[in-house]
Amino acid sequence: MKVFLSIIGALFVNYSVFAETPEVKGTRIAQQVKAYNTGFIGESSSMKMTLVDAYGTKTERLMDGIGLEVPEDGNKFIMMFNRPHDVKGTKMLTWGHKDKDDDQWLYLPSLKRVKRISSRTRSSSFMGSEFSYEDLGSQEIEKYHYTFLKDSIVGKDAVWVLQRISRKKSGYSKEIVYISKKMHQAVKVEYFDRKNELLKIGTFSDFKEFKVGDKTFFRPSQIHMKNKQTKKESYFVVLSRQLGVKHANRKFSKNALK
Amino acid sequence: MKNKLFKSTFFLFVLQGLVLAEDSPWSSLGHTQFEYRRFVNERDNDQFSSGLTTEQFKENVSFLHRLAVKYQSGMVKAQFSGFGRLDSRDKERNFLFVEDFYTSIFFEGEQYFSAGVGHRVYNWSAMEAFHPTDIINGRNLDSDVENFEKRGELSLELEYSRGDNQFKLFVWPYPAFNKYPSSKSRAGTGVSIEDHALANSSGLQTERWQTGWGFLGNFNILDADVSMHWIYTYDRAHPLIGYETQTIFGNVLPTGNLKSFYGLVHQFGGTISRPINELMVKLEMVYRDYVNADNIYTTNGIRQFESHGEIAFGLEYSIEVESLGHDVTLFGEVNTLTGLKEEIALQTSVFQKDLLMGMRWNFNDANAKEISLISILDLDQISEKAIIGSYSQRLDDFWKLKLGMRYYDAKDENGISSGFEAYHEDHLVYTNLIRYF
Repeated sequence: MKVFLSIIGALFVNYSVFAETPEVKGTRIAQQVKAYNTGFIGESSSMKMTLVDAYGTKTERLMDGIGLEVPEDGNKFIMMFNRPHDVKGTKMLTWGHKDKDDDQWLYLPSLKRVKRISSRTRSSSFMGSEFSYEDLGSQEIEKYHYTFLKDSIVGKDAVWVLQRISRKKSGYSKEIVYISKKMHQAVKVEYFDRKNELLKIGTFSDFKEFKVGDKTFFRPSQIHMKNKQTKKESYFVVLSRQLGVKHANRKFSKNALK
Repeated sequence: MKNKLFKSTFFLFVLQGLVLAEDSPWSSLGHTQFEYRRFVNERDNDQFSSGLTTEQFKENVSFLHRLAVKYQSGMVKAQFSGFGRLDSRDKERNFLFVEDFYTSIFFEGEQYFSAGVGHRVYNWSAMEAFHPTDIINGRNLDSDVENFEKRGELSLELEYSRGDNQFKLFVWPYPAFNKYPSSKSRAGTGVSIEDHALANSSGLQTERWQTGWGFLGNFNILDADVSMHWIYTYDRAHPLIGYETQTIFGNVLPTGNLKSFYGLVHQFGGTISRPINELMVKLEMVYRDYVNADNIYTTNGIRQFESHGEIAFGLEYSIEVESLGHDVTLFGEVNTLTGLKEEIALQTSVFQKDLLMGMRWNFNDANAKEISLISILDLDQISEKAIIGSYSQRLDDFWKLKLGMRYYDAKDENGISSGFEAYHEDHLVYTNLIRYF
């Protein structure tokens, strides 16, 4: 009898798997990735971004960041700019949201003022780099339509290849995301412009392992963004990073930016 | 005076050097700016042509050093920020402004308490050019009319914050005075104002220690940033210019030097900023209830401080120029004074009923190139307007270049100028070379 039920059960399970559409499977994988990455509590990091123009000239940017996990909504994070020196002391606070546009505030030390800003220009360049605010901002799964494309291999990593299309206004018509099955992190993203032509390729590498409680998280220490249309490129290098940091929620208030 | 300023500016450099050590609880930022400005036209206002004043310089070369230093260790925070300016020709543009110079102790967790004392600059306004809420600090009236440089106000401050809600209580015991343009400055009226007086219900006060109070609450309500305040202090944003008086044989006659009078006021108001779809919407409203003071013999007749309201409304809209990768931010603001006759409103504020339209064109490139253009139109005096434009770009990690122009279309009136009249024929172009550290 048990054997019979097991066979029936297995058939149902297999049937349900076979019945899974690419959209359902893509969404399920995205949710699985999110669940894997939930529980990091908070984050502190310092970063260097190097801009390389079409002639090979390099320019550097330095910044620090702190983040707070908000399980019931999008995460909150603050980016503090250190270099170039004219933006030193500028801070950008973002409250990510699942079902609406992010909230953003900018603290400008020259004006000694916190300014509420629109997060609608998400596709704009981040500090003149090949990264856009959209690339570095909150990427809540509720903001995208996912479609599973295929299983594949990138380097030594077995990956899921998903297509994601933003539900909100975006600088991209679509993104093809390669997610490591082991690390549950994107290792490569292809960005397509609004004319559906390949615009940029982001490559995520030098993953570090972090333990928070009984969970293990992987985070890339380097992101290389190559613009295939302008030939410009940018490198985002994480110089130091801590996960599991318990930041007070108050730090992520606009009143605390000054 | 110049020697003192050199010492002060040198002090800023030394202070900066002290905080360069790494792993220090100190941090600093600031810049040194070389400015060349040239006025396009000769001055031909009445004060100048009637010989009330001396030569007004057609061009200036100035040097400005600005520094902000922060210290934080344990439960103690301290901050200094200020700037010194040296002008090659107008010695009255040589001064040191202390903006912040305060220390506080704090207890931080999910709740935050702090108690602090020192000089502070308050920028509570949410607007680009019209700032109804900002009446506290003394200001340099020889700086940009849409954003005057401010002098720190001596303050005692208590703060309690929890989540996104913040409550602050203030005591302001020693009002900072405005700095007026010198008689040689093109930003002025050709008349120097160096004396000041505080006016309250007991008349004019000779004692500088006069206690003011304030409360500020900041909240996030339904996605809107809401700020509310009550202030009881001397209004530095709307002074009356005039003379003290004496009565001789029953006649009230002006006496002494031209003075700036600051009225004691209760100000209630606040700001709201909220994104609505593609727009950032801002509203700022205050009501100023002046404590009755004696009549003041102003340059426009005998007057009292008159209670009034001020409302400013602003919109901001950002668009992406996809083909170029540029961002353009368009913004508009309108303000109006309520409860005042037109001629009184004209004497009360530079902006009485004005419309601002502006644009910032950001190239989004590695050099942060940006073009900014603002026009301000007086809706009561359509002939009066200002057009302010600039282009800036980073030269490298440390240097930045800014080229700009300011054009004023303002009437030439008799008497001490009101509103934009002070800027009659004061169109100028300037070049700033800025070195950040």
